[in-house]
Amino acid sequence: MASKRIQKELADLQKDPPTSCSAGPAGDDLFHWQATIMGPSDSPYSGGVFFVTIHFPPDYPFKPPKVQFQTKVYHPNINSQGSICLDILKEQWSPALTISKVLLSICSLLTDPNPDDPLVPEIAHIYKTDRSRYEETARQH
Amino acid sequence: MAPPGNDDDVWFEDYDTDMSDGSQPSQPEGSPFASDSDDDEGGAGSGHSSSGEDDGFEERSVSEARSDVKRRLYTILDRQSLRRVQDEALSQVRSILGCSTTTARALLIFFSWDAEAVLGTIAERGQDEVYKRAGLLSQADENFAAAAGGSGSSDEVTCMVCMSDVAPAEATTMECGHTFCNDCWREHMRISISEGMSRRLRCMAPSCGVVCDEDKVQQLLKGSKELLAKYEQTLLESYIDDNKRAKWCPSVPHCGHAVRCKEPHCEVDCTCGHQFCFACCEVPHSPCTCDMLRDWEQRMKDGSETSSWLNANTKPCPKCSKPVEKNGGCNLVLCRCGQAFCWLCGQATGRAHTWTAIEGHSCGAYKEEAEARANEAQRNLKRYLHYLTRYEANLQACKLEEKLRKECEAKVDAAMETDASLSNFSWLTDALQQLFLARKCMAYSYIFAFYMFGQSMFKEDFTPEANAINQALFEDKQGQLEAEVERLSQLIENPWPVGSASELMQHRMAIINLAANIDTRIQKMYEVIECDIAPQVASRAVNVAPYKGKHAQGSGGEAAADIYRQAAAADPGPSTSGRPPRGGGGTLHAHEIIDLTDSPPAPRRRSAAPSPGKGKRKAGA
Repeated sequence: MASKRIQKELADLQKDPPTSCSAGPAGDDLFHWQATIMGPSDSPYSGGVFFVTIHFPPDYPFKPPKVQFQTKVYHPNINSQGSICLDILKEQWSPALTISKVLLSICSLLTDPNPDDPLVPEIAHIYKTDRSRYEETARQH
Repeated sequence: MAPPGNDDDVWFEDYDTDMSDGSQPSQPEGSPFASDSDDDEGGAGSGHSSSGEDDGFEERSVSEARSDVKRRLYTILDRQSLRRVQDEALSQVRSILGCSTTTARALLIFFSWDAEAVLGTIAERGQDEVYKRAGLLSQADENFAAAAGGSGSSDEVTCMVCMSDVAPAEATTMECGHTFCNDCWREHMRISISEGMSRRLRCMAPSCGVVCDEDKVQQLLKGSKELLAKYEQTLLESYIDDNKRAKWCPSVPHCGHAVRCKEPHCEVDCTCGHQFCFACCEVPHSPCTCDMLRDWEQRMKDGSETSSWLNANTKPCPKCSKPVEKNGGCNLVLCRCGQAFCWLCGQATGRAHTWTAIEGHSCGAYKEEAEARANEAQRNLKRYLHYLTRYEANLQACKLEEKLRKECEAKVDAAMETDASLSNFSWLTDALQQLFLARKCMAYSYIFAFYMFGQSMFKEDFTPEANAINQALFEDKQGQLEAEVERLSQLIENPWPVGSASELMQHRMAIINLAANIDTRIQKMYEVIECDIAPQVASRAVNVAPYKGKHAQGSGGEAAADIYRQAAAADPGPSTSGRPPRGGGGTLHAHEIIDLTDSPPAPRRRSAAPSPGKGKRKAGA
């Protein structure tokens, strides 16, 4: 079930690639993917290229994939290990979601951080109180 | 409050005459003593079996009436009754809202199985909002979904999970209108159920979150019995797991029973024999509160008292730092290590000293603060030890229950030879039961007193004067109870006047009366707690489980009476026709107490039956 579905997703991605991101198996292992996300143009991450690893659990898609940033990101919902605080990767996961939808969600998270549910409280604080400093720091990273 | 004091005094005079003059004690009119002894005599004459049966019959009705009362405070649930009470709650919500079982269950789970809260909130906030919060479809959504599901049913559907096209027969649409193929549904359910998410089995569509319909789940899982059984089991157990007013019996190994309580502060007697406090699941500890017990056990466990003893009675040697206890003499103390030091200031000194001064040391000045601190610690420790010894002594006495019970059996055998009419020993088992109940009550009352009058846990609530008054009031009741308990204990333990039938009868009356008195005394003590002391406390809740009495009826102080009133108001069924429960201790009459003492629950009497039998056989041989 899992590998069949992953293969279908891969075929869909190749047939109709989403703008600003791409994804595919990192090696021979179909359950281990590598993805790239282009920094959204309307965000301080514009111009940046972010690498992301994706691990599919054996009972995918009934369990969410594990998605992690490899590139360091200065963001209230992404910590220094690259872990992402995103509801659809946890309790709001639905088997009908796909990797391309997940990647799009991550893109919109980059544009619109959620400082009220932060993974890195310090960054969230700066984001809320001193937006220009946050944007400046994010751009430098 | 009615003037209970008078009744009580009269009763005591009665009791005293019983003890002093040798004649048959004067009995209150309508006392069941008379009928009871008649019954016994009849039994002795016409054969035991018939009278035993009569007794058994009577008892059953009495114990049924009693368990009726008991049921109002809490209910013991086994598998069947669990299903029944759950179905009751479900059908109540279903019939009022006209919704499906799934919806009713989701609502009840969301509101911790409080049907009144479900209906109340819906009346207050409107159905749509409540449904939304509970993750349910509102009526409008449902209509929309039905319309969406109805159309285009002939075409193949694409399952958005496995992304394959399947025939409509191979797919299932949930109430929310989302369709996925049956294989994916099954897999989703398998994973959710095995992770214990049965009661929150949601639709697979993104951000839908509607609970899957139970019938459809059952339909889909028809093939895998084990999974379905687990699903149903979890739904059933949700009544306990998601319910604030219900708990599993904490017995180990688990007896499989659950308890539903109307009042969180109550002591439960599970049918498996395990007794526990519903609020904290520890051993029953009334009249001390859960907070007090927790602190007390911590105190006993971590031996913090050892350190406070050391604090109060020793000083560290300035050289080796070991604690040194002063065993008399002057303030020049010599440690084992050879170092001399001044007891007052703890400084190292020389060893030579005169009457007025110590060589090389001139501490002279009296360190008032240090002294006061040491005194305070010593006082607190003494206080703790005072309560601890009394607590432990009473519990220890309880542990001797088995021994005393055996002794009593032997005594009963001996008594049988004197007077065959004593064949019914329920009064003795009753008295023993009352004795041990009182012992436990005493033990925990010392913990209560330790915290209540210690001016630490309730420091803000009482001025020292008010505290002293409360303490005097409480200790007065406690002292009276203690005296009665010791008297009863002595009366049961001491040799019985087996020689003379009339003396033996008198002894028996004394024991019965004392047991009844103790019951009243305990209630009086609870009354002081509930009516006099607890209302003065504002800083925290004083939640004392009501006194159950030896038959565990819903009795005790005002709180219990309130519960009864609530229960009677909520459940005007057969309960009201039953025997009225005993209300606050103050409104009791002596007659009623005797009445209850003399009619124990059926199983107790049966257990006492073999001893007279044995006696008979011996007499015959």
